[in-house]
Amino acid sequence: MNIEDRIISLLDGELSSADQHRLFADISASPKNQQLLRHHQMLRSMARTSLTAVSTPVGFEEHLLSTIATLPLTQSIASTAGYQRTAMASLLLLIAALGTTLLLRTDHTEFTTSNAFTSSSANIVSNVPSSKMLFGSAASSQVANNSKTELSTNVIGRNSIRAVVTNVNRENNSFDIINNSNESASITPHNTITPSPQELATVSLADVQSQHTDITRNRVHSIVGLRNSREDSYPSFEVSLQTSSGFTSPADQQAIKPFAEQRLSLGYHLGYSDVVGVRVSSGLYQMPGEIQQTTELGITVMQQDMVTRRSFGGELFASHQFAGVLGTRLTAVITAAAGIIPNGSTLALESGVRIPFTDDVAFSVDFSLTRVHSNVERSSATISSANTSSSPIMYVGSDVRTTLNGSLHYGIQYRF
Amino acid sequence: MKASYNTLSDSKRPEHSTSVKVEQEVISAFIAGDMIAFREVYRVFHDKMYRYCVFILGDTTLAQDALQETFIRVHLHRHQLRETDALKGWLLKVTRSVCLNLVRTSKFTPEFVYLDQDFDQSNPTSNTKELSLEGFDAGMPNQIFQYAFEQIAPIYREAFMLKEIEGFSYAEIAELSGTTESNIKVRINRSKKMLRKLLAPHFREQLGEVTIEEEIKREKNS
Repeated sequence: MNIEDRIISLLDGELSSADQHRLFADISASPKNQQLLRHHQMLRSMARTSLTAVSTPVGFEEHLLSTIATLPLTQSIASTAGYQRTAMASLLLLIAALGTTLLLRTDHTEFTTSNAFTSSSANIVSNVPSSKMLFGSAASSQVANNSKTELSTNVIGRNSIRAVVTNVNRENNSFDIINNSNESASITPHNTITPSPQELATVSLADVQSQHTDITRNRVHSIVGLRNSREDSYPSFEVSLQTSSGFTSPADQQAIKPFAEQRLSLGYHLGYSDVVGVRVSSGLYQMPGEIQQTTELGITVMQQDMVTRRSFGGELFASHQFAGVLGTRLTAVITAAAGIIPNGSTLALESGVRIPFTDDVAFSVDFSLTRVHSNVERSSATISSANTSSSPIMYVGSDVRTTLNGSLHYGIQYRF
Repeated sequence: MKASYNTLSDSKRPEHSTSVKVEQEVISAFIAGDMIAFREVYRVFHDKMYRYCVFILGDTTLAQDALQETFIRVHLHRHQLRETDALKGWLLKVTRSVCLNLVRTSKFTPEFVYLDQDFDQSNPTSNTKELSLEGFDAGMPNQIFQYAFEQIAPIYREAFMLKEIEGFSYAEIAELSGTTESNIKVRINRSKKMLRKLLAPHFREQLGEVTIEEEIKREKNS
């Protein structure tokens, strides 16, 4: 640690007493060190004074509460519009990903929204069920001056909502407010406060702002970034129902393969991105059937055909999710799974994507590569156990017991 | 139902840091959707959150957007606050997430993205140059400091603010930033050095000092 590090540690109270003595000796011996100490002391004092001088602008609380009071309506409008756009963009992205080149960039699919707080044309004051709202003097004077005032506000990234104020009573500052769904509410102030004489935006950062691009006008948002990812909170469970189609390698053999599979998965979120769970599959499984034993021309023919049976399998899986891929609301998922099927076992690796319809419901697509192993005995074992002591044996059937299957699973996922 | 303001007993926290704690019943009511409780939570934390937004985003208008979006999110997702003790951390985490998303969607300036990563530039302290005080009124130290503060990278601003102003511990900041405690210590240390260097002309002016070079020259002459 150099002298400056030690001074910082001293002021943070993190220097041991022995080190303190050494530091004091160094400081007393050097004017430069004394200057360093004085500067750091001033820095601490200046930082506290300067940074704590910033406070939320007057009127912000009223604006926020009124915005939240009108939120359900706003949110439903935004959900429809936002998610339709999100779904369309997601499908385009998916198509592009399955094609040759992914060139779709969010830059091409942007729209503008006006500034949220500063663009509101007036303060809206409305009542909130089961609560008392303070009634700002700025808002009351506005209402008093307008017997019928049309007010509007925007929420970031959401559609604007409109409300009309009517029946203003100038004596007690009460009024009615009607929104665009004809829902009305009577507003009666419970208390009146006078905002403290703070200046709006006490921070003067003019010099700094002048160095940046003016992003407050026509600020652009990504079309698929309307609703922010919920990294700050996450659901506990997710359940998905998927169906699938796929292929098997080696394809020219009568292999053991599950197909036409439906699977129900239940996952538990260990964290925002990590999920573990169980999966139950129902499908038509091909598997070696009963051995037909015949004798032709003195040769014992053992024929074992593949049969298709509906059966069930189970898997344990672990997934990791990458939210917000390509700056969108899509979530990429990689999964490892292991399980059992009738007379066999599976090991699978999957990758997929979740395309959200709402906060909780998503369309899920996964591509899986599964190594399927059948425990059915091989032809050599079948032949050796056959009760044909004298005649030669011919085995007719597949000896493939391990295959690699590729499947595309698609379905609906719900998080809760 | 009123929020209480308790000073934490953590002796390592700065003396000025009046950490606040909202009563459990207020938090429970807040989670249940009571708007009075929501307002109490707002009143306890809004200044801290706003300060964070202003100095991370470097723009008051953006900061107001961020604060509004944060409280809307907090209101909408209040049921997902799992531990009532974690309210302060949760609020700051949401604020941070909103700021990052706002920056991403605004295509503001790429450097802010670094907040989201375990990113540390090679030691920038040595490259820091003293601030020119031209155009600044020495009687307005807040303005000078805020300008200097804007000159250092957001990862350093964030670490400095949370530790020195908001009184978070190294562990809390590390958890919030998704990095290690030692990394946070380095960031705070560097931020102090950079700020000290940037503000050195102001300090000298205030203290009536001369530069070290001038001091040495004076000693030689005498």
